[in-house]
Amino acid sequence: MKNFWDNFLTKEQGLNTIRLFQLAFLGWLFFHSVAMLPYGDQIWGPNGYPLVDFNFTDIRALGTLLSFPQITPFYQWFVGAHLICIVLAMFSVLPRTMYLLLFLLTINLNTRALGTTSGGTTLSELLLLYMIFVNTTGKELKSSQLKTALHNLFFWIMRLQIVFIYASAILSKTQHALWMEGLATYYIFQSGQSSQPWAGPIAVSYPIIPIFGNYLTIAFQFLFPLLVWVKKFKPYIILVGMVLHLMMSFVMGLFFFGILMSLVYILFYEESFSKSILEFPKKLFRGNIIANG
Amino acid sequence: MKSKIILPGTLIIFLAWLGPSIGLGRWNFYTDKVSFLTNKLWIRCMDDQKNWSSWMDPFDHLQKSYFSTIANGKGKLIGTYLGLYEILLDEYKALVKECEKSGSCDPMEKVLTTVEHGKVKKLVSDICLSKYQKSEQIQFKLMTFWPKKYSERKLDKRWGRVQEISFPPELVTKNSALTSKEK
Repeated sequence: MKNFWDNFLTKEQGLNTIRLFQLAFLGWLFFHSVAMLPYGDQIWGPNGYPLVDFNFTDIRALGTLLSFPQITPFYQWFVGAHLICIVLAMFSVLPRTMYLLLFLLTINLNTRALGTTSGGTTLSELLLLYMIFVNTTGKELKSSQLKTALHNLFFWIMRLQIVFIYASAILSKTQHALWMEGLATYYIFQSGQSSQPWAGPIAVSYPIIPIFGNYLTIAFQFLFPLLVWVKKFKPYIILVGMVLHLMMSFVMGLFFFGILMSLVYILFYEESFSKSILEFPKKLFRGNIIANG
Repeated sequence: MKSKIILPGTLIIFLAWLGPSIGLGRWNFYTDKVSFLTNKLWIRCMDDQKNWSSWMDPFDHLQKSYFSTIANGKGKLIGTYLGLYEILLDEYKALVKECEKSGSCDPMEKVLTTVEHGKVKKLVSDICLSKYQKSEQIQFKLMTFWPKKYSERKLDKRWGRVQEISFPPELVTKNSALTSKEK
């Protein structure tokens, strides 16, 4: 235990894992904003359709700047700054400052477009906040004890956040009769909003498929918070999670949510595995150079 | 000395993060709410010759286009439009309850004066004006389709139940925002 605390204060943990995660997460964030750009006028613009017109004059105004009529016409500047900060953070240019700016810009864009938000966007805001405190460069820095402790603390908080999501999801499901009876996915697949048009007829004709999906989801959400810490079971529970979330992306149409949840599992990768993924492009590049003489 | 400050400090930050979520009963704040229902906004517009068009779902093609390709921002745009439907429906339901309690008001009459209604009216006006430049009146209804119950799965019907909340015809709100992409 003493060893753990000594390391906690003196050695930054999971540097390669965090570096790999930040590249994947920022890639997601970039694509998330770019995908909405063609519809920017309706989503963020002055003639758009915001669900709520915020009118704060206190500190909360910092997160709702785009609701001010004088500022709304300049929404492209917010999106542009958002994209530039993402690229700079990817290249580790003033990373902590970039994450602080990204946190504020993301909150402003999301509160202006509440209809586009989901559990995934809430999670992305929290992750941006936590990333301010971690070393995302992938290199060991000669940090103070306080910075090292904060890095390690927020690395843990990020992983606990994911576990917390599943723990709260399973608690919520145990209070929902349809999930417990195994019929929730049977009904979700019939929803024109939450599923592909072909999913409803399949669910009605072969109800065993959604019922299996229902209980698989419950089993996964119950087991994930426990098994993700056990080295032997971790790859399998992550694989099941990825399959479930990719299904949410492509069958239920929760594209950005499903992709983000598949990416957050990187936070649980072993450090050596993350390092080998990060080095893979370099090895490939070197291999090509040698092969081409 | 430093570690004596840092360790309790990190613990306080951790509890400050976890505490509000659990203490305020917001533990399900992070979970996604997936709907079992299908919500649709049906509209009709008065055309340039002052005849009513047939009822239509203006987002039907957008929804089909989104589900055929998935990896794009159309789902977010649908979320923006249907979000307006949901806030108006919530407001209407709240007014129905309020009027049931007091027994002396008409929820439809009241909802027509709300901000939520104004937002949907603006959206429908924009859609109608993008189709008929001289459109003067609009009308819309909030449609909710329930899935077939498990016991009804062999019955030959598409939906279990359909609820319709119809709003009266109204004059258009002029200030078109839709671009040719969403028409």
